[in-house]
Amino acid sequence: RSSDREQAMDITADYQKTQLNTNNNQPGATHLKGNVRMVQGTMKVHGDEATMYQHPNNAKDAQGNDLSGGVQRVVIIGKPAHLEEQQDNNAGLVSADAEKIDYNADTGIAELTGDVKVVQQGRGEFHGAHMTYNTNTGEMESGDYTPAGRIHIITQPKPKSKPAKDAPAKADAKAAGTDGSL
Amino acid sequence: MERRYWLIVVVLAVLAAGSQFLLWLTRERPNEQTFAGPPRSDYTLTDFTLDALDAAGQRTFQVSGPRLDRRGDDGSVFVTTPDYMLIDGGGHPWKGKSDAAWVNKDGTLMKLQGHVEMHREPGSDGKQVDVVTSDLTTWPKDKKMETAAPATITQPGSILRGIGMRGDLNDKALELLSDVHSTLQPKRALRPAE
Repeated sequence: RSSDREQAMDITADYQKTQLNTNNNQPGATHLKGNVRMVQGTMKVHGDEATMYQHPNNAKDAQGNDLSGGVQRVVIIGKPAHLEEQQDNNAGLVSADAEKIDYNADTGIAELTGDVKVVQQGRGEFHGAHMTYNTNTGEMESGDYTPAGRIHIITQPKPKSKPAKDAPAKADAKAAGTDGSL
Repeated sequence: MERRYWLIVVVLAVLAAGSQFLLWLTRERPNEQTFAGPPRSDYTLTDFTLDALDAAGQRTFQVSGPRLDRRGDDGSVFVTTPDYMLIDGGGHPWKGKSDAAWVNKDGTLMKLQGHVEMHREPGSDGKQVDVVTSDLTTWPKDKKMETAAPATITQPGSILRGIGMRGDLNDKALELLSDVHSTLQPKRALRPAE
């Protein structure tokens, strides 16, 4: 959910090494190992290792807001690494598993590589070797014209329309042209 | 039979009492001579400031405090409620205080005992950093430090907690060795083109 980005990020792990950002153009980096768990709003991430890059000092965004020290990018590795998040407008839960998840906190775009599986609750499932997933819009892009790039998508059928006993009501609605079906 | 029984009991009682007395007689007597508190010092300083320099004459650390006791035999010093300053790889000072400190003779090892605080001012090469821990061992000339105690590292926008900490002030890397729990405050959320 896009409002997740405005929540605090809570991190637990077995080990952490933080490189304090040492000069203005070098971002600070934090390396985490051992049962790494991150929670930010509805977004939950779990993996074996993670590397988090923070904006360097005095970093600014396009609107001139101060970004220094903010999380810029998170790379999670696991068997598999797991990311799940509620979609905007209550569009259900999206959960993603892959060997590597490279998540750009600025743009909200996650790049998943290695045995990728993404499940959009009630809408469909995706399997493939690589995928780019926009956590703000839910858009997914995948495949790369190579044999290894084949993708496998399962989409949920539209729920069946109501049984016959409602038919008269439906007939009237059709006459009035308001049943709304395609 | 009755008398014989009581005779045995009496003999056993006498043996028990005798062995207890012998035990008491041969106990280890505490050495009245031991001197409580820091070993006897050959000199003490009050309201002092100590500057330690490296081979090139650069200051590696500074310690000041209300009292310093120098130990005669191994040349180490004990400091009560010290204020100290370490210098990192970028020449930046990290200042702090602790309940007590022990510094070895050549100033290569400084043990900050009890509650320990460290603070680095924000500067051109980095933000403010505050470390709170206890019983921190530091190697000022190597600019390294380590503790097995819980530690909290606070920077604007993040609080990092763990048990056990290692620090290398040469490349400003701080490691939390176990049970890590960190919280990062959000930056203003970046809105993609909406």
